[in-house]
Amino acid sequence: MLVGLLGLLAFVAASAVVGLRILALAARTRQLPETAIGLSLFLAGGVGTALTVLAVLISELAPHVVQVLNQIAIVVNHIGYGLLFVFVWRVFRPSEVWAALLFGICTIVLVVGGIGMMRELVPGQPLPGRGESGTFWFWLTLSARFVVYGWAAIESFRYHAMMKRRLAIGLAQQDVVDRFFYWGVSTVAASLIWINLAGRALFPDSLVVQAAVIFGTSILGFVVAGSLFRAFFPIGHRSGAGERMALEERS
Amino acid sequence: MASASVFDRVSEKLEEVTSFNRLEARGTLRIALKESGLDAKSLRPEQVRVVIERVLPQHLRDRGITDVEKVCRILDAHVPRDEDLASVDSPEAIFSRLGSR
Repeated sequence: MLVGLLGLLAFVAASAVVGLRILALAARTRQLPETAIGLSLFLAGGVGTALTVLAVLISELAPHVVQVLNQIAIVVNHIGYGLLFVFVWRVFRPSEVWAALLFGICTIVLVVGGIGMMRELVPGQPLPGRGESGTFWFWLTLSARFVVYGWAAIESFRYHAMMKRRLAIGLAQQDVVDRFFYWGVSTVAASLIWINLAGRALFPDSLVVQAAVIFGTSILGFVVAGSLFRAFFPIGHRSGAGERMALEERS
Repeated sequence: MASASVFDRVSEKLEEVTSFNRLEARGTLRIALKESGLDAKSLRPEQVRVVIERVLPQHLRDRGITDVEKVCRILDAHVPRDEDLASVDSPEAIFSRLGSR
C-alpha cells in the first residue's frame, strides 16, 4: 500500500509541477499547445489524481464528501484527458481529417463516459472499477483514455525517429530530440496505468491481481514522474552531433 | 499551403534542370527528405537547403545525374526565402518551446 502510494504521489507531484511550469510558459507565449498540455498535466495528473487519492486515504470523511470529491475528480480528470487530445491533434495532425474525426469521437465518448460515471457514484464508495467490477461507463471512458495516451505515444516516438535522422545532418537539437522520447515514455507508462486499471476492474476478487496492479501502478507512477521531468524540466544543455556539426561549420 | 510549396518549387526545379520526369524528381526528393527525417508537407526552406547540400547529391549521383554540384547550386538558389512563407508551428518548434526556460 505504501509503495503504491509513493508512486502515485510522485506522479501527482511531477504532473502538477511540470504542468504549472508549462502554464507559466503559456502565460508568456499565449499559444494553444502549451496551454493545452500544461492544463492537462495539472488537472488530470495533479489535481484530479490527488483528489481521488484523498478520497481513499482519509477514512474519516463523510460519505457525501467522498462522493463530492470523486465527482470533482472525474470532472477535472476528464477535462485534462480532453486537453491532451487537443494537444496531440493540434500539434501532430492539425490538417488531417481522420485525426479531427478521432478527436471528435473520443471527446464525445469521454464526456458521455464521464457523466455516466458521475451519475452512478454512490456516497462513500470509491470510483467505479476500484475494488469492484467496472461498469459500462467506466469501460467507455477508460477506452477513450487509452486511445488518447496511446495516440500521444505513437506520435511522440514517430517524431522522435524523424528527429534522430534530422540530428544526424545538423537539423535538430539533442534536447528537443530527447524531449520527444521522454514524453513518449511518459505516455506509454500512462497507457500501461490504464491497462492496470482495466486488470483491477476485471479481477476485483483476486488478491494477487490487486496487489500486482498496485505495485505495477506505483512503478509506472515513478516512470511517468521521471520522464515528465526529463522531458519538460530543463536542467543543463546536452549538445548532440547535429549541434557540434553546426558549431564546427560556423567556426 | 506554404510547406507544400517549398517541396513543389524544389522538385519542379529538379525536374527542369535534370533528365528526371515529374515523378522521378518528386520521388528522389521525397526519398532524400525521408532519409533526413523530414516531411514534404511541413518542409521549411532552411531544412531543404541542408538536404540539398548534404543528402540529395548522393541520390542524384546514384541516379546517373552528372554535374551534381551545379544542379544543387541551382536548386539552392531556387529555395524560397523564409520571409516569403507563412510560419508553421511545427511539432519540433512546439517541443523546443516546451523545454525553454
